Amino acid sequence: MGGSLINGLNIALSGLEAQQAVLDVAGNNVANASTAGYAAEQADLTPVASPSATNASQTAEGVTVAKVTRASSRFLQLQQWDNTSQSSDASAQSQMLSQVEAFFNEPSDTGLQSAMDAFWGDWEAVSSQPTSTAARTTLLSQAQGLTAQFNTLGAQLTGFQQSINSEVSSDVSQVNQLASGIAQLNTQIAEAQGSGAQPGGLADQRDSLVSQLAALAPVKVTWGSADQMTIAVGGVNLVAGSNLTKLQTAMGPGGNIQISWSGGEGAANITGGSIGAMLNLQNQVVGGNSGYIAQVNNLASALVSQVNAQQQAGYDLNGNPGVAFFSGDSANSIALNSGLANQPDRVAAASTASGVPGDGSNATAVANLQNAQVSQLGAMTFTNYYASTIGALGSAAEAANTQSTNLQAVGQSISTQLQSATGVSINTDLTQILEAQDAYQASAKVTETISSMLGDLIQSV
Amino acid sequence: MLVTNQMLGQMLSGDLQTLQGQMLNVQQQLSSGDQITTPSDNPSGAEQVVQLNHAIAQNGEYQNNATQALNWLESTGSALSQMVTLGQSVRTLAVSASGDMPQSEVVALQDQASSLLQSMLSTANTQVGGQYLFAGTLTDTANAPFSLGKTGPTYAGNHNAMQIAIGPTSQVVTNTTGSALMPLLTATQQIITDLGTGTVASLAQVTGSDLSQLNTALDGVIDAQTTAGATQQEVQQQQSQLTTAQNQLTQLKASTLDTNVTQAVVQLQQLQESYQSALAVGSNLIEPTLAKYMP
Repeated sequence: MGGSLINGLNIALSGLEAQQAVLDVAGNNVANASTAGYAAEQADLTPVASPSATNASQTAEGVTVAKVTRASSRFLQLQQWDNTSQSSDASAQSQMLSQVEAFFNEPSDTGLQSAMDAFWGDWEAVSSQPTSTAARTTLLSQAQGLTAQFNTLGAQLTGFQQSINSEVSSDVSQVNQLASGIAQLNTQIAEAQGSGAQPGGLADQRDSLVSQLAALAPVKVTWGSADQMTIAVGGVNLVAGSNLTKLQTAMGPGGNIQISWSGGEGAANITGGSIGAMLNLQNQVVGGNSGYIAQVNNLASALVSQVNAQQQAGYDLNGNPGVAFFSGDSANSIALNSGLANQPDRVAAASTASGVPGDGSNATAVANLQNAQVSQLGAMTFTNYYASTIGALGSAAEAANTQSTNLQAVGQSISTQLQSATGVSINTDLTQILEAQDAYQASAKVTETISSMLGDLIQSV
Repeated sequence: MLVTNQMLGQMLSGDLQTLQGQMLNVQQQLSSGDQITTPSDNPSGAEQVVQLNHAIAQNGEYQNNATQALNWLESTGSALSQMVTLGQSVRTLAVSASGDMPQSEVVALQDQASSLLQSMLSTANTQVGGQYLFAGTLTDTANAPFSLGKTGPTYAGNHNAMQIAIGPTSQVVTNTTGSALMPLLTATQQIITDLGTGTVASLAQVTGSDLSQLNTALDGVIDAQTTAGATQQEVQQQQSQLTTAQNQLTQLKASTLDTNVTQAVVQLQQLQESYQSALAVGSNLIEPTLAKYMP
């Protein structure tokens, strides 16, 4: 075997360089040990193989860094993004429903129910003292209190529903921003790979953008050649490599926001993430035909029609037929009939004109409406209808809370596994650094030895 | 499994968060005294509390109505019993009349009868809280319902019943109208007239047909008194039932809504212990790495 001492120096040099690269990578890992979304990297060393097996003198060429691998687990990563969408959906619903719960403020002594109870109670009082102006005045002011409470609740609920519009539209523009960031990173990664670089940091950045995106809308992520990422939302590609299809928002009928694709793909189907949660609340839970707003409106309108009908069947203190007690037909519009304001005499407490003033039986009939099964309310009483709304709201909020807690626990476990697969363990990297240091010292020793051998040789010549 | 440094921190902060959330919930239960502060704390419980609040409020109103009715019925009862006493005095007086009485005694009897009639009129016009008791539903007219006209006593009220609800399906008639009192007033007037005529025949009528008319009228008043008494009893019974129901409803609401303080305090202590130990673990969490021993 014939080799040159110079070649030995080159081999030792390759060892020095390779160990330095290992030190760099491990050092970078330690530096990023607490960086969220950072995936640990590893320098893979490989011996330099001889380009030609026939030339025995060239069998040993030293060591080189074959590539820097970025730790990844696509399976766990996809699971985490799925979980992020679900968890963000549940936690958005839970937060927003707890706001709705605050609007209703039940069970309490100051909610709508207690105002209705006081209202019925004042009718009872008028029925037992039909000639008392005080009882009638109390009734009218309580009725105004009740309508004010309906108005406030209605305004809070519709205001809440409209506030969803601006939140969704800001979320959608965030989706577009993230998507364009991801498309850009796709391009950069393709370019880097083309030039033979290992764009680990770019992939980390891209994953972190996808995580943010998944919190807004459920994403379906696939990887193509050259590590190009495709992200579909509701079956349409939001990002495909460097291509981008943006989402846009518009006001739909009924003042509810609608999201569609800017490329003519029609309405976007977003059923998860915080956007999905908000759309669901706006269109189904709070709004919609059987949402809370509709239920409160239905309650107000049933109250108006029932009380008015009974009032119009009676006679006021002057013997005149009763007039409508309320005006309006929804939580926002219900009000005491302006004709009754400050006119306690016009409350129709008597059933017959001849019964005036001592007959309070029509007031009793109004008070008894509280026990009536009202067909407009699905044959429920006013109280039971309202109580079932509260019960349903509570169940929905409780379910969202529980789901949010559970999904967070699942998320924690996925995140732990992902950390384990891709995170930095300082001890592992420090061990590598120690090994590299050893190897570096050894290679340096080899250099020193060869160099002194070369010196010996030169002197002896 | 590779344990990374971020994992340790994430898990600790997640656990502390959960514990703090639970402590907040228990603390809220203790400070508000209610274990249901929002419907999501206990949806069916919240629904039940809303319904119980309604039932308690409604029950309270029926209690008020029952008190109102009793007030009215008691006044009616005592006025009617006065009427009966007055009517019995007229009867005693009528029985003592006879054809061989000296004129002066007959006049004295007539005076007594007239003054009894005045008392009857004023009793019949009894007011409670500004309301005439026996005027039907014409309870607050400017002129009293009963008055003495040229042809005798007249009644200006009506015969409508006054009803008060003392339960969801239970209503009672609280008033006695003038029709129960008028015969007594008319019969007394008849006796006064016949005493005034002063003939043997008219004095015989006083002890004869007038007396029997008076007796019939008096029976009518006693009947009305009995009816009012029976109604009063019914309302009292209902009132005690309402009180019992109110207690039961309030207890039921308390058992659904009120915080079980002992349980909550124990729970809070357990949570605090867990929290403390989690914190203790956390403070030791950032264990030294290999770096500490490297040259």
